Amino acid sequence: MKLEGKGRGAGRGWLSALTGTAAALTILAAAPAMAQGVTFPPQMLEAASSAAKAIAGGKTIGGSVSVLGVDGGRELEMLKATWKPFEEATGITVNYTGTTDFAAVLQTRVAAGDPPDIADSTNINNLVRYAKAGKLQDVGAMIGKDRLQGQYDAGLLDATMVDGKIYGVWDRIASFMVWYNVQTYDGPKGASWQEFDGWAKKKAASGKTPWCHADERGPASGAVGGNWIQAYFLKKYGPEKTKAWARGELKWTSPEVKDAFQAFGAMVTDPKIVAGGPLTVLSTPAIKIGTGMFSKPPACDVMLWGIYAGGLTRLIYPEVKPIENLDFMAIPAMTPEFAKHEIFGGTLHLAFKNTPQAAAFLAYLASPEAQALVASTGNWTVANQKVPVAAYTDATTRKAKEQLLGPDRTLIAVPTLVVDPPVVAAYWKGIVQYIKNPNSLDEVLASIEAAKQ
Amino acid sequence: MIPQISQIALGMVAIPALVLGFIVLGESVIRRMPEARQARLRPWVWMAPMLLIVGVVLVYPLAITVLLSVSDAKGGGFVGLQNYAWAFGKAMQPVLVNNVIWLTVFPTVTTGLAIIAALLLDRVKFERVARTFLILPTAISFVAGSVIWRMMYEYKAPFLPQLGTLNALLKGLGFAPVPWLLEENLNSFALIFVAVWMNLGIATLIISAGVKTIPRDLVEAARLDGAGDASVFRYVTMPMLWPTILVVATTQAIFTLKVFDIVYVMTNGSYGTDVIANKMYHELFVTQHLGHASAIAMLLLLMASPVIILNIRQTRAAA
Repeated sequence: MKLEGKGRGAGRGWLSALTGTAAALTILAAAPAMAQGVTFPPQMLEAASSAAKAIAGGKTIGGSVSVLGVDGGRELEMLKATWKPFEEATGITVNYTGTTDFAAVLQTRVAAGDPPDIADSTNINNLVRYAKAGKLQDVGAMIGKDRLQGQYDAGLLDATMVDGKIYGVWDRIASFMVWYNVQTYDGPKGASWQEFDGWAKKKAASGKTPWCHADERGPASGAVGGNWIQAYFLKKYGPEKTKAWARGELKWTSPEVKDAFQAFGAMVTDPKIVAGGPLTVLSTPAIKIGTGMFSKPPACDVMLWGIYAGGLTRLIYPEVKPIENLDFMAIPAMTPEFAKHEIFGGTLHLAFKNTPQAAAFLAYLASPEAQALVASTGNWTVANQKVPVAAYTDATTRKAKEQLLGPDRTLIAVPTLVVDPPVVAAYWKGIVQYIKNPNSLDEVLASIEAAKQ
Repeated sequence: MIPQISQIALGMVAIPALVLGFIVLGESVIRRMPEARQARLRPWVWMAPMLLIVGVVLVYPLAITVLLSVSDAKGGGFVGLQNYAWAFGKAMQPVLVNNVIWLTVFPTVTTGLAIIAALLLDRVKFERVARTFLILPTAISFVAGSVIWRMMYEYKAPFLPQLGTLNALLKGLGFAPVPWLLEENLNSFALIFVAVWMNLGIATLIISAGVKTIPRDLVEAARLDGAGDASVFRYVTMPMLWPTILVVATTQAIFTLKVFDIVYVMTNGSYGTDVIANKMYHELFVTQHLGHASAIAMLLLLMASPVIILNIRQTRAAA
């Protein structure tokens, strides 16, 4: 009995420590994320609600529509807010599932005979492959071609057509640009890549890291670097080679693609050029890509990513004002003749089922009123050309609409919008491997090329 | 949702009704037969529904997997043992090595810590409270737990503010931050730690139940014979607990062979952390090579079978 008593006393000390550690880990782990509301100008909400009512013929349709996409977090909150007028006007509930492993999940669900009603694809290849397999609904027939023709850029509309039928509805269009901290960036604007790169090297030589980059995104890690490489490629090698690369005619092992990777590597693997060095890049969530620009003291001045990067950065630093503190410029070109060519990504809504709910939701998503709401979130530019510039209530997206999607620009789809999803997955995974081990570039490029089927 | 609920309800009623109907019908047929034949046929009639279900959900998929494992990427042409050669080749070697690390470290650490926790908990008054804290992580899904730990492990260069909990603590204590998920000699252990955190509670619970079954008078008799703590542990506690420990260890080993969620969410197999199940997912859904994926599935089955047999035997022995 004496020993037991002693044992208990000793056990208590250890157990207190053990219990304390477990409790601390549990409490630390359970810290909740703060949700923030999304608000719109009342007249825009009213217009979206009227559009939804008109689509439903003034009746309550009810039921639900299932949507599979890639969005989550704050961006999904924004999108859900834009769908709210539709849900209220039609009685249809939108059940959205977001995953960063979109292509694999979609492929699994389609193969299992359980596709979502609508899939929000960021890859045209999904549209082509599923349309040719007879899995997709003719969206033109579902919602009426007049809701699409004349409202969208002809090139964008053409990209959604297979055998004369329209299989997708565009809404968000992502432009890519170089973002900079207005107060700290002292480099050239509107200059060539050579001048811009010269500034970055000079900055690095003075002991300050010019570039911000972050690429941790679960199974989609490497995607931000993927955009960087594609943007660089277009601005150096032009649209024809970019299209050839997308079509698979230019190999991933080609000198041009390798050169684009190496240019990216020169930035992302050098701790003098990129804030924190490659390990920080790989460990930092992509949504925090801009945090270094406004940390105290700032750790970097510029980043290259999509239109949404501004909103994501301002979400972390609410005091940062668009244009005044965080501005952007077009990606500088290596070859002057490609200065006005811009890469873009986008979201396509594909219909796997033709239900009254799916048709109504697609008609709503395609409408200028719904896309005006998306534009007014300040996070995206949109595809519907009937959306007035005034709908862009955020100075950054308005500037992007006017400058990067303006009539003087030629839009070229990023190759990852076009190539097979397995190649995209291999590309992203390869970028991660390359950042971690720059000597593995040839092996990386060969593995991406091998992913072609 | 309503059609899904009605389908589930239909399944819950229709399947048992069909089984019952089949057995009643079978019995009515058998009863009209001679006695000797009845005795031979009756077990088969009663087993037939279960054999059918096992055939549909287990044998048929297994047969298809075997077939696909000797087929090409699309599951069409016969390629012999090519996929198995690939599964044992250069591409899979680092993956197999990682699984060996998982298989060695995870069951050992989880079971070891569970034994320590169970024995200590048995000796304190606030056992229930402490056990509740230990079992809390078990209530979190592996995906959610992995997301939490991905944030806990977040790394930034030493001169930048640390946003990951662990590195913020290290920096606060004056140590350099550690790239937990990127350092190849460390990251698999960082992932294994998450698995231990999530499984320790349930392992402790099972071993605690085993500890409670050790007769007090046996321990007291040993102490009267002069046995100290160490001797009681070695000659009384461990032999009595051994069947339970083996069940826990083999269950953890089976979990190890299947481990997917933690690796998929935290690194997606990058930085030398890939494991068999993640590789199988990658081959099946990302590269869409049915042959490779099926060969890996067969490999996994072969590796898991001895452990499963041992686990079943120990579960029966422990019962």
